[in-house]
Formats: sequence, structure tokens, C-alpha cells
Amino acid sequence: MTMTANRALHALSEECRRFARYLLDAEPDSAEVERYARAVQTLPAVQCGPNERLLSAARSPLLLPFLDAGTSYLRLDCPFRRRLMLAAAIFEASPRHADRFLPCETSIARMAVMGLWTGLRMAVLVPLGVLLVKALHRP
Amino acid sequence: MIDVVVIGSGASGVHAAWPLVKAGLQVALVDVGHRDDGAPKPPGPAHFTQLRSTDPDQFRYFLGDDFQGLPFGEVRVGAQLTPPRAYIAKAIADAATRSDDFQAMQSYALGGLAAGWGAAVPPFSDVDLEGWPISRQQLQPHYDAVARRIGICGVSGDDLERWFGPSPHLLPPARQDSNGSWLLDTYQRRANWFHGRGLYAGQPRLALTTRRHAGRGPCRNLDMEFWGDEDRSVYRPVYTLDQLRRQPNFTYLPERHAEVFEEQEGGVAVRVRNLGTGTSERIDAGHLVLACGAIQSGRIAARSLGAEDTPLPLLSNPYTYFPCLLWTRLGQPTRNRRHSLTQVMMYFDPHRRPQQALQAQVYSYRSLLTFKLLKESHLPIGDALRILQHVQSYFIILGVHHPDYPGTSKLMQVRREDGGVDISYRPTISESRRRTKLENELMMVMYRLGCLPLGRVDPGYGSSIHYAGTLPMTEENRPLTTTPQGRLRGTQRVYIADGAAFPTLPSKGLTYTLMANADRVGRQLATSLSL
Repeated sequence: MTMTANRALHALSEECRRFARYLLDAEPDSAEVERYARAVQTLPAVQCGPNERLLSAARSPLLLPFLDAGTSYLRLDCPFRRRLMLAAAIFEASPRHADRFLPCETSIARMAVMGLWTGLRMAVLVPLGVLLVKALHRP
Repeated sequence: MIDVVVIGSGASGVHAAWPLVKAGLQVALVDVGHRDDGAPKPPGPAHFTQLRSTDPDQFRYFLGDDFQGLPFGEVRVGAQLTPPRAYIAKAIADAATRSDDFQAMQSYALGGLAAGWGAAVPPFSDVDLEGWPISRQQLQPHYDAVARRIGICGVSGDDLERWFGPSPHLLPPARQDSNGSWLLDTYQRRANWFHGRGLYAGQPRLALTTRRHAGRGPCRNLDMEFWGDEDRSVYRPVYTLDQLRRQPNFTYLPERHAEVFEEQEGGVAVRVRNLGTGTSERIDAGHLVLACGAIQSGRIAARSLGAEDTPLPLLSNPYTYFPCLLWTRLGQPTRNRRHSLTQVMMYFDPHRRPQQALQAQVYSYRSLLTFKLLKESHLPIGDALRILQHVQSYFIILGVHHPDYPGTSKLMQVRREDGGVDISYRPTISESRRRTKLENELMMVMYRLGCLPLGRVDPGYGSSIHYAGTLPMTEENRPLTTTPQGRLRGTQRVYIADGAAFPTLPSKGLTYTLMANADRVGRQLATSLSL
């Protein structure tokens, strides 16, 4: 494997770990990391040029929630959002993280609190995320 | 000497062949017959949640070895086919079907499109058959024969009987999941109110064996019906084909694509392309039964009768689906064991025009995996994931089918130059408006069932994968039509046993009627040949 290919693989592994921490607050196992890297290298739909600025910005864990909120609100079908979805799919189809995706029973009170919390988060994340995405995204 | 050659191994082909074989005739069935291509499958009968928690290789069948189960881009026809079933849509090197506005999904698989169908089997009523030259009474013995052959479960005497008519051969109904039970309980508590608004609901009739039947089943409620056929409880045409292949007077000819036929003195010659050798072959038989799907049968008939460039009518149920939240059930416990098929069937006819009524099927969402919902959600993926985990149990998909009638802007035409098919399918503005209005009215009534619609997804024309009407059955003596007995006009020995002969398409799923009509055509042909 060339040094460039090694670097690309390392970058994808790091990207997978960042997405796992963001989505699940957990570390992925090595099989999931390998699967994610292989998927990105295989699937043209998630590949992008070196100037993809949203993915570059997503290297910062602090910016990830804003980018996710901005691209969701704008319904932006971009490599960043596709890779985040890909990561979610890979984590879901793995026994290690299955519990985080299988339905669980929750009281209405807890759901109400969760809905309120999500609403508050959206009120902050969406406007800032939209500004950030608009500043970074070049179709 | 072959008495009858049948083209196609789908729901129509095998049920047309069955009475011919049982009558002792020499029958050959010609088929491309793509098989399951070895894609990874679930490891034997196991429950969905058990597999999710234990199987380290689950990504291979849930996502596919090449990640082909990941739906990027817009929702497309056939999106419900999971990686283990992707072979059903595998194409052949053939003159293509082209269209700007219609997605035609054709199958060359062993068992055809029904190798991956949803197994709903609503029979057509006399209202549905208006404009057809045959009645429900004429179809009834064939519905009964097919029901005994394949095994159909359901309830008699409920509110859907007025839509289905009597069915004497039902297996016990399938076990309902919590959402289905809740919806039907809510409906039954205020049945008069819903009837006043034109809504009728009940348990679906499904080609699902709820007890041991013909060596299959019973359904073990593993919630894996979209991924495999481990308990063989959902009917697939290949099971009937397997039974046919055990008969000495039946021959299966796979890897052959039928191209044209030519009637000759005392028989029919069918030209087929052998996909294994790439050579052209000729099969001689006394009679020919076309049962390879409305588009392919229309194509073969038009080419054989020199009617390329002649537009043929094309019907397809317009289809829309609505992700909904059963908000009144939030916080209620949920049963784990269930099947993945339709839980509740509804018919909606607010204007008392039953021919325009729509059919709505309720599915609970779980085994098609959460990430597909994340993609459609308007929320950030991270937040959507946290919320969906808590509300997914109360999430349903409402699939809505509308009826379709022939029109001058819904046509297919065979290209003379390469034998391919061009399709132009544009419903009129008034048809589209009527559909939207009816859907909006349905959503208002669904709200009273405690069901909150979260969006509307229109996958485009052709997405119902119900195609019909290219060689319609009629009493009128017109070219490129079918007689009530199923004979293709302009021929003496060619019969149409698939949806090509349906002159209209009610909103009800067509597969049960495809099978019953094929049985009728096959039985009549067998009787005439045995005389």
C-alpha cells in the first residue's frame, strides 16, 4: 500500500470514529471501521473531490452537530450527509450497536422531555448550522 | 410433442400451467429464471431482534456485500427489494424499456415479481370487474382453487367482506402486531362514524400459511419476511413450480427468453433466445400461453402480429405512501413477535363511488432498518436517531393504491428497430387532482384513528409494480385484444393468462386475480383440448 493510500485509509478510519462518537457516543470496533472505509472507497455516491469543505469542517467534533442540522434543514444531498447516513447504517447492522437502533419502550413523560430538549437544540443548531453550511458548501 | 408451451414462471404462469398439467397434457414452461444469485441470507429461521443482537455477519444481508442495500438519492421503484432479493430485478441483455415518466420494473427471476411480493390477496368484486366480460361468479371457483393451492389466511364476515365477497377456504388469520390491533380496536369502537366517512378496515387476507399447509409454514412471526423465506410461510410461485416439476408431463426450460411466435398448420412455433448459448431456438407446440407480465406479453404479441408501432394501452396503480405516527399509542407496550406484512387493510370511498375507492395498507416499521428512516427525516441524523429509537414502535407506513383506467395518454409501443418498448404514461390533470384530494380526505380520517401523517412520498408512476391492460379482454372484436376465454384475437392457438388481459385495474392488489384468471384460462384450455 502506498503512503497516500495509507493516509487516505487513516483519514477514513478517523472519520468513522468521529461519526460513531457523534451518533452513538461510543467507539466503533475495528470491523465497523474497516467496513466504513471499504464502503467509502467502493461507493461513488459518497465520494467527493479534495475540495469538499463540509467534510473537511466535519473533522471538528464541535462543528458536527451544526453541519448535521444545517444540511438536514436545507435537505442537502451531499457527500457529508451521505457518509453520516452510511456510518449509521454500518453501526446499525452490527450486533455491537444494535441496541442503539432497536425500538425501546419509553414513558410519555420521558418522550415529552426529549421532544422539548430536541426543540431547544434545534433552535440553536439549525440557524447556525444553515449559516455554516451556506458559507462552506459550493455545489 | 408439446401440447402447450407457457411463457413465464411468475404468479400467472405457474397457475395457468397447473390445470393443464393436471389434465395430463404435455406442458413446457419457458423462462429466463434468474435464481437467487448467492447473495448472503439470514442464517436459518431466527427472529429479527435476535439476529440483530447476535449475528456478526448481519451487515452482509442487511446492507449487502457491496453495500447495494444503501438507498442514496431519490426513492425509486423497487426500493423495497432488500439485498437478498435484488436478483428479482436483475435485467437481461435485451432491447430496453424506455420512458421519461414511468419506471417499469420487470423481472426475469424464477417466480417473477411475486418472488418478492407483499402477499396481500384481495379478490376483485363485481364492482371491480365492471367493464370486464367476466363476472365474480365466473372467477369464484378459480379464486377458491388458488386459495386451496397456495393457502390464504384472513377473517370472514368482517367489515371488508363487502369489498372481498365470501371466501370459503381461509386459514386462521395472522397474528396482528400491537399497532394493527390498536388501529382496528380504535376503528371498531367508532365503526359507524368511519363508515359514514367511507372508511372500512379489517385484517388483510394474506397468502401466508398460519398453519401447516401444502408442506409449508406455519408462519413463525420472525419479522424477517422482507429478507428471506426461511419458514416458507409466504407463498412464492416457485413452490408451485417445484410441484409441477415433479410431474412427468411437465418440462421446465430455463435460460430462455421468448421473442416471437408464429402460428402454423396445427400448432405454434415460438422463437426463443437461449441465454446460455446465445443461440436462437424454436419450440413447437400445439398451443401457446403468454404469462410473462403485461409489458412483455404485449411486446411479444405486437411483434408477432406485425403490430410494432401500434400503441397499446397500459395500466398501473398509482402509488403513494405516508409515514405516520400512531401518536395516541405513544408509551404503550409493544409485542415483539410479528410478521412484516400488511397489518391492516383499508378501503376508502368517501363519495360512494366504489370504482374510485382507494386501498390503504398499514405496515409497522421495524425490519427495514432505522437508517432508511433517518435519510427521509427532516431532523439532523444524530437527533433523529435518538428520537426514532423511542418512537419507532409507533411508526407505521400507510401504502395507498389508486385504481387505473385506460386513457389516451397511458400507452406503450414496441420499437420496430430493436424490439424494445417505449412507454408514455401521463394521467390527466383531473385524475391527478382526484387522487390528491382523496388522499387528503383519507389523512383527515386517519387523524381520527390516532394516526399523524408525517409526510407524503410519491415514488413516481410505475412504482406500484402493478402493470396490466396491454391486450385487454373484451367482447368487441378488435385487434390486439383478448376474448373472454383468454384467446388473443388474430390468433387461433395463443392465449393470454397474465395482467395484459385486464381491461381495468382496481385499487386492490392484482396478484390473486392474476392467479385466479390464469387458472381459469388454463382450465378452459385444458377442457377444450381434452374434448
